[in-house]
Amino acid sequence: MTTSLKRAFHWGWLNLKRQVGMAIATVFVLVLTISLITFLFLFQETTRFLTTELQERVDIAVYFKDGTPETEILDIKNSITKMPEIKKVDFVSKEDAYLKFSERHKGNKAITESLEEIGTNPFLASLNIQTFDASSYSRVASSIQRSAFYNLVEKIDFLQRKPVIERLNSIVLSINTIVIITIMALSAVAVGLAFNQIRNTIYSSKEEIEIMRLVGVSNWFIRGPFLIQGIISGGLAAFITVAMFGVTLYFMGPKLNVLLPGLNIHQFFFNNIALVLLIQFGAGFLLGSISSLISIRSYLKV
Amino acid sequence: MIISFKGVTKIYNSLSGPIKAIDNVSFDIERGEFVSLVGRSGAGKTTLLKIILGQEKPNLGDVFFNGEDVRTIKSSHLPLLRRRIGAVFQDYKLLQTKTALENIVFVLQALGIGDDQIEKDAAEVLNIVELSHRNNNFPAELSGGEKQRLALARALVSRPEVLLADEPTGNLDPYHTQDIIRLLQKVHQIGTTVILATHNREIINNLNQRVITLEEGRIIRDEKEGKFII
Ligand SMILES: Nc1ncnc2c1ncn2[C@@H]1O[C@H](COP(=O)(O)OP(=O)(O)O)[C@@H](O)[C@H]1O
Ligand SMILES: [Mg+2]
Repeated sequence: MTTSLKRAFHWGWLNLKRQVGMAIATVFVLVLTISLITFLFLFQETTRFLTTELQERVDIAVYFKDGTPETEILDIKNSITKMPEIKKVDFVSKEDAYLKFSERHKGNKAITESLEEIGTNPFLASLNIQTFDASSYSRVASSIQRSAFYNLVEKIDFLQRKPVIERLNSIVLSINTIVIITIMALSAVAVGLAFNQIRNTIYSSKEEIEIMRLVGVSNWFIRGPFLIQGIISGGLAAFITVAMFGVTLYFMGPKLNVLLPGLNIHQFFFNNIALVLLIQFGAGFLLGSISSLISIRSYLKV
Repeated sequence: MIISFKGVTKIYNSLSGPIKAIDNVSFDIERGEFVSLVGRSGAGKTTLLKIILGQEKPNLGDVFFNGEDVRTIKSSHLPLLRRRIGAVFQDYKLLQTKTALENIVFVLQALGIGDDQIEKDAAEVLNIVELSHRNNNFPAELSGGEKQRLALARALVSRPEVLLADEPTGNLDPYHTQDIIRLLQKVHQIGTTVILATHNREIINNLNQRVITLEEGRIIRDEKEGKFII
């Protein structure tokens, strides 16, 4: 059994080497396909990050005049928290706001330098209020405006997160659709190329196959090398893709963090490496064996 | 009884209409027999051998190998049947891109035999057919007689119960013809059932074995110690 398997691998590999050009073309398209599938996977994480980021954003931010005592603001926080529409109220002190801002723009020299130039802390203490329901914004806002502490309030900001999230979702949906359609088209091309290559091998091995049949070689042993030929192409393509993504993310990943601070794609990739490998090799083996099986079924009938 | 034909008819569909290659043929072959199949070119000898090997399916009648119906055999079972039969084909069916040794090794590898065993068996069988000095030559570099012996070696290497030889002396001179026949007799002596298709008169008349004579797909004679009469 192991001897037969070893030989099937050996012959499958020889078959590939007989048509190097075709083999390279097939593996190239397979790499493209698996890369896009990987991209789709990483893109889902990006989407998840953006959505939670948006959802975590405050609904209403109440900024207090400079010099308002912290104890007073905390009292106000308590009274707001008691309102039934309120999900969460966070107090952000002047210092917290400063730290958060400089943390967020750590990489940006222009901003950090101008912040240092000011010399003082230009930020205001605030209460960040989240409601359960976007529709209760105005009610909460107007009750703040009518309240006794309104004279301490510098300004109130509203964040219209709903339309933003909806826009994001529709963009994500179109990107997903385009990528999936491309993946399907590329899969078809990859399967077509692999199929064609295996069919050629079957044709050029006609005599060998006939003799194997006549001396009683079992059907699956005759088919084995052709099946393995497809699987090797798929596995090779998966391996190349893994290496490409691994190397790129390892070196470029930290730089990508600047684009979307807080989103760490390269860490996500390496933390989920088992799943990534499963997806990439799964896709490679699946596409490879599908093309083998189609050509075996069409050209190696028993 | 190892092979049994019962009312077998085989019709080919050719462009110019149907050809009845085998016409209502019945016979039994016992284990260990040496049977010659004679008849003019086109009498149906090759077709009959192809039916035994499951290469062609009869249109009518039944064919049994060791009691198993070859006509209705499952395709997954056919390889098992063929492993018990060695065949020397009229057109040799040697792989031109492989050397003599590789032609033998290839078959054994495909049959899943271990490397050590392959080395031993291949050397042994090439020795038996006296081709050891041609191990590394390609079929194109072999004479007619050598090609026949190589084909015979390949048929024998898996130690079959039945050997089918289709005109194995087809285009050989009398000296090499005797060579092949001697080999077939040797194989027969160790217990192999041999079925030899030929239209060579000398061979048959010297063998003193059973002869089945075919004419236009029909058996016209089946004699225990037959002679070549057409
Ligand atoms: N594949 C085929 N298609 C059509 N006719 C065939 C085929 N093979 C053999 N025949 C015909 O069947 C008859 C018997 O052929 P064959 O068995 O090869 O005879 P033999 O081996 O005795 O010369 C011949 O008339 C031949 O032309
Ligand atoms: Mg013939």
